[in-house]
Amino acid sequence: MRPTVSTGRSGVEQRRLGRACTDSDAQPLSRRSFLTATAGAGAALCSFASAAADDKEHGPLRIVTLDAALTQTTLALGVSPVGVSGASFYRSFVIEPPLPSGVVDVGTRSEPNVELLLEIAPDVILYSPEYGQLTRSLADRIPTTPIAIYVPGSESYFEGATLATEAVAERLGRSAQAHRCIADANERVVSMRRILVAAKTRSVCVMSFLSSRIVRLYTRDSLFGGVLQAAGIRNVVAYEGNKWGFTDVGMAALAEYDADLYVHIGAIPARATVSPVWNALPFVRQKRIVALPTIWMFGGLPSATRFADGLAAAIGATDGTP
Amino acid sequence: MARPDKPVAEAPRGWHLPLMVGAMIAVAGAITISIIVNQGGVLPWRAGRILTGSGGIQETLLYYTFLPRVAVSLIAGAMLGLSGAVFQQVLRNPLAEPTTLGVSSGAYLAIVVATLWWPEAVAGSQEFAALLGGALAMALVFALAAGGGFSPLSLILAGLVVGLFAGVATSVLTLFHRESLMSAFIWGTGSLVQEDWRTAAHLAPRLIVALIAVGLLLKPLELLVLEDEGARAAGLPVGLVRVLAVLLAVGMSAVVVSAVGMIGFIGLAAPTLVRLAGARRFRQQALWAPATGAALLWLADQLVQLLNSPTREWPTGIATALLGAPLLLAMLRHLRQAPMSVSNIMPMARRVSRPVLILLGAVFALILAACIAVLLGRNSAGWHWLSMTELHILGPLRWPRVVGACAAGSLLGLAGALMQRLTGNAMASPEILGISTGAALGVILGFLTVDELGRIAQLGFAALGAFATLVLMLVLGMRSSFSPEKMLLTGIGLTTAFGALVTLLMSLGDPRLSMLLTWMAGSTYYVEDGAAVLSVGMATISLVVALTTIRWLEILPLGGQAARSIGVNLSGSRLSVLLVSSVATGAAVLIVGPLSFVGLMAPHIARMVGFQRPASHMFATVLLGSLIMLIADWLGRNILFPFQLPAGLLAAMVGGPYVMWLMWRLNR
Repeated sequence: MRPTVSTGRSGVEQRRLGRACTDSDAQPLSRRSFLTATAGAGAALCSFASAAADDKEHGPLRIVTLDAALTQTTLALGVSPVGVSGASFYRSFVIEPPLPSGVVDVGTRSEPNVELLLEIAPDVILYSPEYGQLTRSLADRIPTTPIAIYVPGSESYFEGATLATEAVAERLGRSAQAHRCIADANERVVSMRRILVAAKTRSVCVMSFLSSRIVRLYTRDSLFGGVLQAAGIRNVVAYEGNKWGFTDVGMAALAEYDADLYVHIGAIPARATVSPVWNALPFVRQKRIVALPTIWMFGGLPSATRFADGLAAAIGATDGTP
Repeated sequence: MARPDKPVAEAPRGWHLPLMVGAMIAVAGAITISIIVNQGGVLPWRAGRILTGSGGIQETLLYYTFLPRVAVSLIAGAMLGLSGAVFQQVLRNPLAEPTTLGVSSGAYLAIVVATLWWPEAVAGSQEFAALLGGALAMALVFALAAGGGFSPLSLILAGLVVGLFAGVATSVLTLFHRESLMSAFIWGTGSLVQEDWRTAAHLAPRLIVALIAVGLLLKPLELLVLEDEGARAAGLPVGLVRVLAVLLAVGMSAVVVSAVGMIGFIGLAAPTLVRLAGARRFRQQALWAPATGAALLWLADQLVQLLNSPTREWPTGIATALLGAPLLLAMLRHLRQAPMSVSNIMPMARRVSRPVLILLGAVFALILAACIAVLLGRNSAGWHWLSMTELHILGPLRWPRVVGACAAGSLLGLAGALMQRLTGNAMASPEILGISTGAALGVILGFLTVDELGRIAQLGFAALGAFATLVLMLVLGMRSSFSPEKMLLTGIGLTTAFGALVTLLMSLGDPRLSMLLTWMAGSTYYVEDGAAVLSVGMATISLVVALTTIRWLEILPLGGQAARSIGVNLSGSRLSVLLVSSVATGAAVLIVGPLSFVGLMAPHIARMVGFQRPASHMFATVLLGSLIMLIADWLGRNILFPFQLPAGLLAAMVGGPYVMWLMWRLNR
């Protein structure tokens, strides 16, 4: 087959089919294990499955997303992008909603492969302007739409992610799905709040260890801070951190924060848990800490709901045992 | 504390030493006590309650984080100070420390590799990985410098090259695995935060062993002050003493580096301060350098903790690096002329008989390669030549990158050729001169101060950084008639400070950094037609201007004495050559970043092929530099398709080993 640079759709789709075949021939095992692994991981948001079926009939917009948050949002709206940046990164750190295996990896977020993008010829490229602008050589050739999650002047990350979801939906013509998605996310936040309040948890501290000594605390501008704010739960890390909503401190600084519940994103490093300092912290002694699975801190609404669900489930689990 | 023996005879200002260390201890101690009293009003003696099990959280924090931190800063500082004193004594180089020997970079690379591929093994002990990496880097440096009889210069240069190469390798890994490497970044910033006494308990016995070992080596090391011949005449196995002492110093720094991370400049500053305070003999230095190092790191760490709050933790390693930078500059000003001898190690090869013919052939080869680089590439289906219609679409995407890479390569090659001619030193290059580092520093500064840094602004900051470094070099150089040695040393200092800043930047976790990182790694991704044409213009102008300096270039390598006797204005000619090579470097860095070794490689290969006269050597270098960058860019765009490896990084991956091989060969 002599490949050509195609601006039409049929040639690309033909190639896509060809590649899908060779892919499944070459790596049947890893593919299968991946599907099994992701099948159980969290329920697909909104009406992902039915919308995907819908797409096949009507041929939706062919889009490429250059940021994990936008990839998540697009998937949540029931559209599978034809290409994304950092597919393997998405699968190990963002996780939800699961990325279909046929999606092409177009390179890194900061340097998406322009030639490959021309070959894929998407209808539109969605990117996050916070991380820098696209090159002129790309923007001149393919329609691009910047969609920011850190919207200046928006109340919180949660609101920013909501606005971003609406913006993506508008671009894709999927406003109905966006409404459902946003309503669903709000519902989950409310139900998380209900569970937290029932457990007499009115203030929370969200953190993750970067090493066995240094802890990242999430401030109000973070995704987690945004969810807490939306739920009306007090985030004890109440000051402004950096623009991206976090600050890194030594483990000892944890003693300065007094929260009803401490939430760790990801697994707590073993070396930290044997430290006398860690074990002397009141919330560790009183077991007021829960660890959630990995959540992408710069994600979209799906990451926010992943956090809300995870927190609700963790509280529910600790509540069941005396 | 021991007093310096024979204070009158050996050190006329002997009282300076206790005064200096005492003052630092007093300030550090005052801050320590104020922190203890202020933080929750806990008095030190109450820490004792922790042992009886009756203490609360405040006592736990005092006993398990604050006090171990003080202990670690004292022990680590002492070890760094001692290792610096030994290094500087052995290498007879006032700027020697773990960083200049590549030990720290090697250890850091090992941590990164281990974190990525053996995370289970690293979880408990980064120490082993760091020790292994540091030892390997050291072994490599030794192997490279062995031929030169471990001469001070060959060791320092080998260390620098190995360090730069380890840094390049680390960059490649971080480009693709940034999210998995946070703990390694934090380690790299040199944080002294403690969570128990384990690190202190780990370091203390090692300090004692090191002190005893240095005590045993005291006499032979003192004799090393004599020139090698003199020391040999005194019955000293010079090589053996050097190897043992360097091993000891490297071991000490690797232990510290593995336990607390990258803490730069203490190993440099402590022995220097001790010398400035009047300790002439190594006996005194070996005693006072660890004391000064301990006081210095304690003080630095306490100052950092004053800045810290429950909302922000600043790494101590960065603070020492920033405190150390002005000190380094001050030292360069006070440095006596020619602290080390730069031997003329320019490789001599046969001359080519028909340079013009060969050069024309090379021009054709370059054009052919450029055509191939535009026409042949990968797409989603595999390797493939462009058809005419495809060329119409993809050509405008590819040619600016190809042309930009060529221009950058020729600019770097040119700068390198000028530097090597100027210094008469085969190891001189823009990378080592520090101009490229300065340009990159400018961009980082812009990034930290301006909220939305556009591409144009980035270029502006890079130019500013290159220019500021140039001015700095000129001011420093003016005092020594642009002595090659000082330029080299300044470059090394800048590279060290730069490394610390980059690590700090990465540890900040700002998601916008990936773009900056790829730029620093030398990506041509953002080179578009305008920039490409501009860079070709820069390369042409630089070449033309460089050709006007040819007369000087014939004479300068003969050395200052010879040149002066012929009547060459030494300062003026050196200044002009330096100016051209700096501007060329600045322009190139904007395109391919500060890391590539092309400025070192291209002039060398050109010389070894047999281009000896300045004019033909310059042309050959320009062509070779272009070709190297062109190939690097083409490979970078294709081998990991659709991912792209930065051209500068790729060139350095080849260039690093090449330079090492070259050193090994030259030294034999």
